[in-house]
This record gives sequence, structure tokens and C-alpha cells, in this order.
Amino acid sequence: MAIVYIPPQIQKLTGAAQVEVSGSNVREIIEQLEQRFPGIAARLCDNGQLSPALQLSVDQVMTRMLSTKVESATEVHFLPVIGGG
Amino acid sequence: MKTHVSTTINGEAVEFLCQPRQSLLEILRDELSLTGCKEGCNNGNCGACTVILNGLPVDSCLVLAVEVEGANIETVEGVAQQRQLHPVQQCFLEGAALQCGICTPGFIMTSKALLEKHPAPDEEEIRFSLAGNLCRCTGYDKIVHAVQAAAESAPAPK
Amino acid sequence: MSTEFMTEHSTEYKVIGTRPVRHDGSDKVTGKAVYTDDLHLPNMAFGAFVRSPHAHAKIVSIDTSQAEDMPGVLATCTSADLPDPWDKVDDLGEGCVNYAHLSGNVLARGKALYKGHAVAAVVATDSHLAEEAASRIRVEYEPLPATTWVLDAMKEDAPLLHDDLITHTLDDAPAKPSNIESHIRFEKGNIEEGFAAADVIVEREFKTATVHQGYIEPHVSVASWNEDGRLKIWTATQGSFVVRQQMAALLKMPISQITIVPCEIGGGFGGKISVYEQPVAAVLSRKCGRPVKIIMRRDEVFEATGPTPGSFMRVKIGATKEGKLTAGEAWLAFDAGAFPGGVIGPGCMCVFSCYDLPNAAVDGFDVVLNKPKTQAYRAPGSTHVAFAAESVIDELAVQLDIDPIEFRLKNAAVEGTRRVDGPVYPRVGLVECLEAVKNSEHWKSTLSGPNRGRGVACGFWFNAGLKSSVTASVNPDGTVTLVEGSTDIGGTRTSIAMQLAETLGISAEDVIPQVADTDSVGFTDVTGGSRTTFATGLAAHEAALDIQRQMMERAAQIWECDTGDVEVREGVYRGNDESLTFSELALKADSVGEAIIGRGAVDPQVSTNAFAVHLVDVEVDPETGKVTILRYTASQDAGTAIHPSYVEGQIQGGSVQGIGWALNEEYFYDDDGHVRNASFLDYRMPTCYDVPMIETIIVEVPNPDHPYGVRGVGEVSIVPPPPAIASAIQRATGIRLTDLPMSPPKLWRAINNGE
Repeated sequence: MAIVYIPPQIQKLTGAAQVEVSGSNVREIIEQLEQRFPGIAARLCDNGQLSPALQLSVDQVMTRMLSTKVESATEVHFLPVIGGG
Repeated sequence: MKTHVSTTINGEAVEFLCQPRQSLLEILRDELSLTGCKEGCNNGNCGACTVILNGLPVDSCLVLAVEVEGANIETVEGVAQQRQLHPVQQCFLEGAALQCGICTPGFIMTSKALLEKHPAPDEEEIRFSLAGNLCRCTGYDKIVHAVQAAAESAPAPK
Repeated sequence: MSTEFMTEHSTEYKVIGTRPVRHDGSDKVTGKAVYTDDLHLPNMAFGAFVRSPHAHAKIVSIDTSQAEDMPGVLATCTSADLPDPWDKVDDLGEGCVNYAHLSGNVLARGKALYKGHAVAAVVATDSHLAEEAASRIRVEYEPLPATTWVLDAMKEDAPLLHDDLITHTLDDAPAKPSNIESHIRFEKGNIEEGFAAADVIVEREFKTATVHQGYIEPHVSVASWNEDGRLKIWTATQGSFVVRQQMAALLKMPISQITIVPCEIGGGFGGKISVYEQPVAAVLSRKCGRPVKIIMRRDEVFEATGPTPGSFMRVKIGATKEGKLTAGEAWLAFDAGAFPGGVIGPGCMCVFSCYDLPNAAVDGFDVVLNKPKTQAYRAPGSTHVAFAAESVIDELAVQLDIDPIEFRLKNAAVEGTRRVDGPVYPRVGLVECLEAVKNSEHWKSTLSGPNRGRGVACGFWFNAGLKSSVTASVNPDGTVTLVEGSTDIGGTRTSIAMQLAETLGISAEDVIPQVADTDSVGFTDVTGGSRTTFATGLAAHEAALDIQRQMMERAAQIWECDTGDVEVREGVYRGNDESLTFSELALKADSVGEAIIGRGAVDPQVSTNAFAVHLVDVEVDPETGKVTILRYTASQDAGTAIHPSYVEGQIQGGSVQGIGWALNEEYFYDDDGHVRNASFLDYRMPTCYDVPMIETIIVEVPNPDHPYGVRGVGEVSIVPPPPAIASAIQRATGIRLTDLPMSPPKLWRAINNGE
């Protein structure tokens, strides 16, 4: 089970700051979240992709790809995108 | 209406026609293809266009081309002699005194002019003399060190 | 030069850590290097912009007829000449862009949103004529109320820039449009409990002014839209592929029809990623059938490109009397400029990033207002928040009477520390940077004399990975030609070549690096995010391994043995009782088979996590309020310093940019929303007379995600200077300034009000 850190602004949907979810990649994780907490996918995604304002931190990997693999005890964070100078 | 100007650039006699409103920078770059001097601000604040005019470093964007009749001009293209880099150029290279390089020709010219007048300047004199040249990359540390190294390596050729 | 090293890597390198002369150096000290403005194509014409004189105005009409009637004027263009933009958000690697906004920033649609906003453009046979023609384009405006201060723009009754802007938030979306583009919130632990456990709490409000990246080369491009439909653009950019991506979207054409040629670039610092003049030069070229050059004047650069946000911040931190931090709270509002997409995200992520903070909450707001669209500037967002958080940390240290370095060491982020935004740090080097400063001769020296003070501060920046590509061909003389997609802003040709050389066991001088156009190398993200030496270096390492594999096969073929029997060490290939050096084998390989070409394409999706700690001594002139930097030391974790001179250069350059931001640089806005100091004379960047030598301490805590341990070094050095200087001023005068820049008038007023 991956550990999903729920952004504070949508914790009212989950009632918890962290949720354990099964799934082999982030896309499946979000599908699982949506089943349990209807409406959450629309906050995180846009047209089937991660929302343009967000990036993922999957353990040490920083990515925007929903196909990113997750394993047991993987931490998934939803973070703002970063631009570099 | 264009004006005819005769001048000396890097030791060679050069003639050109210019409009009264054209700067020396514009003529050097656009008419004479001496693109080593750079346009950073076009109003005399950054020093990227520095050339040596009758022995003095000047911002070529602030000199009108018609003013250089009979003058002796040195640009960065004339600093290396017989395929040999000038000590200032050599010390900038070895001391990593450049990053993006856009300000470098201006710094080379100002430093060369300084060392020709004051072969052994102290840090204060170097910093004061180079204060008209802006560099946004290096924080100036390595530039000042390069000029110090150039002063130590060889007396600047007259 | 007194560079100290604090090195943890045990490997002995032959090339890495040496200081070869950079490959492009000779061209750059002799004036031969070709920057975009040095190009002069046959039959080239020159473009100029018409820009809004108002900070906010409806564009009623644009009449180009008078300009078009002038002899020598070839064409004009307005936003009507750009395709209707896609309302599409695209990932540029280093952040996302909405093309409707980008198109509207390139040429205003319907409204001008800031003074200097491009409204129209004209092309003529010479540049003076183009400027004259621009002055004859008649634009009728209906001025609107404008706002240039972030807190004003957030008010309910503020003039709206975009009628359809609904705050982007993970929370319930508000019903009404506003200027608040986004609201981010992070929480960790329980701040009520955290503050309840504190013995001392400090809360302060901070302001920072809008500042510009200040690269010396103005934005400049040459575009040639040919009759066969192909578009070629020579330009000064941090990322040629990202320019191609933006051009294709803005002009609605296939990327395969566009070639971007990156010329030498005269500085970027985050400001040369977005396109500005490139699409306009392209459209003008299409209309007039000639190559078109546009170079911005310096006032245009200030008024219409960059800058980085002004901000308002409130930060509150609590600590026990033993010096352990218990809780932190931050409320941050940043300018986005006229269009959404600022740097509030990283600002929120960085505000408490240096510390192990058990309880925290961060709110961040990105706000549109009537200023130029902001862009990244070296560790974007982190300098702002470090000024606030590190100033509060320092004040806590003073109140608790704990040495400021010891206070930071007690709370410093280490491997395993969970950041307030969630992720956990891998191995990082903040403690090592703090120890390096603590052990420095500078810290141990005594600072005496009136009006003098010493300050210290930390800084953090993520550093990016992202995509990089190279190819490398072995030449018969044993050299390797390295073709890369990363534009070289500060010596990266050499830092990348050195990694290829190290891997192959050849010298840096035996690598011939060149930066290629978008048709000649694989996709490569921008030179930004401190990523180039890390990620393009990684690609070069991969290409070197590819070459090595082929060389071993070739050696086996020559020696008539199995490839498995060939071994290579330090560039010498051995097998079947024979040995050949790299260059000997290169010559033989060339005569017995096809060319040896290595490829490297990488997309490391990691942050490499850079920390820096700076130490500064200042003297304040109470008569004038002027601050003189007496001595400056900067330590930074480079992971592994590939070319120490250029690592020092990045540290020194960033430090001095940070000093400028701290003491002098700001956009002065008048009541009409006009910038009043859009020149290098009045926008006061540091000259070499303003700063001392910058002493550097390179800390090397190798990055586990890179074969040579590289972390990237470009950005974090700009972060600590403002708070370090603020704390030094506090020690010198007893006054804590909370408003950047800490310019002479502000400090003088503070001294004379007896604050």
C-alpha cells in the first residue's frame, strides 16, 4: 500500500492527512482515491493528466507522469510545480 | 546625408560613411563588422561596448561616429597580436574571469587601458577603474584577480 | 584565491576537480564568439515594438497606416497577426505555460496590462527607421485603474486584470473572479501545540521589491521565415527546444518546421526561457519576406521582461529556551505580474526548508497585478522567503542568546528530515556547510569597530534534473567531438566535457564540445534549475560508456579475442596480452570499421538539493545609511565540484546578485504604475567597486543520484545574502530591517527615527 499525503486543502474530502492506497502506479492510486473519496480526482487532474499546477513527489522522484510506479510504502506527495532560474 | 570619416582602427587606416545620428558602436558593429564590442544598454551605463579611443577607455555607444575623424581606436579584435593573446586576455582565460562572456570584451579593453597607464594598480584602483563595466555573472572576484595577475605577469605593452 | 574544500568523496579523479581553460574561452576573450546580435544576414530587416504607455488600459484601436506609408517600412503586426491562441497549458520542463497568456504577453490582446506591454511592431530596412515608424503607429487607449502592490491587488474592490481569472486552488474554487491566481497551503504537525510549546515566539512582516535578472545582453533574435514554410530563429535563450515548443504553439505550426539556433547567450538567470520578441520577429519575417532582427532596448528589457516578484510575507517561528524550533507559520503573497504563473509554489516549499520543523503551516498566494509577467530568477522564490524566515531565525537566536550558527546546527535539516511540504530529504549537506563556516578563519576572526556587524544565513534550492541529450563521435586522432543541446551560459561546455573525459580516461582538452541547434541533437531542457552540469553531464557520462563499450568490441575485433576478455582502466584497453591507449585504439578502430558514436539521453527526475551558508561583515555609515560589505564568505554543497573555478564563479556571482537584491536593486513604481528607473544607471546593480572579494568554501557531500556526485551549483548562492546582510546590519545598528532593498534612504530613516 502506498502512503498518499493528502494536501490540506482537500483533506475535508478524505478526513485524513494520509491515506493508504493500493495501486501499481499513480494513475491507479488516483482512481482508488476517487472511488473512496468522490470528487478528489477532479482536484488533482485535468483531462486525464496531472493538473498543470502540480507535480508529484514519489519517494525521491519528482515527476508529472501519472504512470510513475509505486510500491509498497511508497510516499506520494502532490506539490506545486517549480520553475528554475 | 552621410559624412565621410577617416580614422585608425587597430593600427589600420579605415574610412567609412555615417549618418550624424549613428554612434561609434553602431558603425563598428554594423558597418565595419567589428562585433566584439557589445551593446548592453546603449546609454553608457554597462561598459560592454568599451573601446580605447586615443588611449582612453570610452563607451562607444556614447561617441558619435562623426567625432572619431582622425582618432586612434583600439577594439578587442586588435588586442591579441601575432596570434598571441595579450596578458589580460590570457589571465581572464586562466583565471576563469568570465561566465557568459558578453561583458568580457569591455572588461578586457578597460583593463588594458588601466594597465597601460598604471602597470601596478592595487585592488582599490582596479575596482575603481572597472566600476563602469557591469558584469552580472562573476561577482567580479575573478575579474579583479585576473587584472592583478595580468599586472604581475608582464608590463603591459605600450 | 583562498578557496577551501571540505571534501567527503573518496574517489581520486584525473579530470574532475581540475581547472582546464574552458573550450570557448579564447573566442570570448578575443571578441570572436558569436552572440545573436552579432549576426548580420543578407537582406536583413529590423523590427521595433510599440509599447503601452499605460499600466492598464483598454486598446480601442490601432492605426498602422502612417507607419506603413513611410519609405523603407516593410510591414507591421499586432496580436491580430498571431493565430488565436490555444487555451492550453503546456509543460516546459521548468514550469508550465498557458499559451493564451503567453500569446497575450507577446502582443497585447484587447487590453494592455502593464506599462511597456507590447501592442504592435514594425519592420523596416534599418533600425532607426523602424523606431521612427513605431512612433507613428497610432494606438487609442482607454486608461483603466491600475495596481502594482500585491496586497492592494488582493482586495475585493481591486481593478481586475482578467475577468475570467478564478483562483486556482485544491480547495473549493471561489465563485467570483479575482486577481488571486492561486492559493497553496501546506500543513505539518499541529501548529497550535507547537507554538504552545515554545518559550520564545518571533513574528515579523517583510516586503521585497520587484527585481530584475539584469543580464547584460538584451533579448535579441533573428527570424527567417522562408518561402518553403520553414522558420529558423537565431536567439539568445536558455533553452532552444523550449523556444521551439513555444513558437510551435503560438504560431500553430509543426515543430518540425521550426529550427532554433542558440547563439552564445549573454546571461539569463531564469529570464531567458519565455519567448518575447521571437514570435514577433517570425511574423514580421513572414510578412516582409526577409530575415528580421529585433533587439530590445534596455528600458524595454526592464519594463517588459523578467522580472522576479515583489512580495509581502509574514513569518512566525517559535523555539524552546534550549534552542529547539517548535513551530513555524508563514503567509506569503507574491506578484505574478500581469499573467498567472509566478514562483509562489517554490516559495512555499522553501520557506522552512532549512530546518527540521515539527509543526508548521504555510499559505501562499500568487497575485496578478499591473507589472510585467514575472519570471524565474535564480532559485526563484527562495530568496524572498529566506529573507523572511532567516531574519526571524536570527532574531530568535538573539533573543535566546544562542550563537546563530549553533542555533541553526541544532535545527538543521539532515537526511531523513521531512520538509513542511511533505517529502523527506535524502543525504544533504547543510550541516557540513554550517560546520565549514563555523571552522572558517572568517568566523573565528574578531570584527571590531563602531557601526560594524556580522551576519550569517542559510539557503536552500531544489535543483532540477530533467531531459538532456548528447552525441559524441570518436575522431581518429583520439579526440571526441561532443554535441550537446544545453546552451552554455557559464562554462558548461567544459563541465560536461570533463565528465565525458573522466569516464573515457582522456583529457578535457581532447573533448571538443559544441552546442547544437534543435535539428542536430536530441531534446534538451533549459539551462536552468542548476541542472546542466548534473543532467547533461549525466548524458555525457552515458555517451562515454556507450563509446567505451564500442571501443571494447573494436579492440576485441582487432585482437581477435572475446569482448569479455577486453578490460579498460583509465583509458587504456587491455586484452589478449596487448594494450592500446584510447587514442591508439581510436586510430585503429577507424581503419577497421564504422564510426564510433556514443549517445546519451537522460531524464533524471530528482532534486539534487543544494544548501548554502553565507557569512558577511558590514559597516554602516550612520550619516548616509550606506552599507559597506567588509568581508564575505560563502560555503555551498556542490556535491562534487567538476571545475572548481566555475563552481566558485557561480557562488561568487550569485552572492553578488544577492547583495544587489539586499542593498540596492528595486523597481521604483510611481502612482500611475510606471517604472521610473528602467536603466542600468537608476536600477543599481553592484559594480566591482561595491563589493569585496567573495571567499568561497566548496563543500562536497556527493549526490547519490549522480555517478560523480554532482549536485548542481548555479542557483542557491543568491538565497542567503539578503538575510545575512540584514542580520549584520542588526548587529551593527540594533535595527532589524524587514523591507528589501535595505537601501541608504531606508536605513538612514530607520536610524534617525531611533528605531
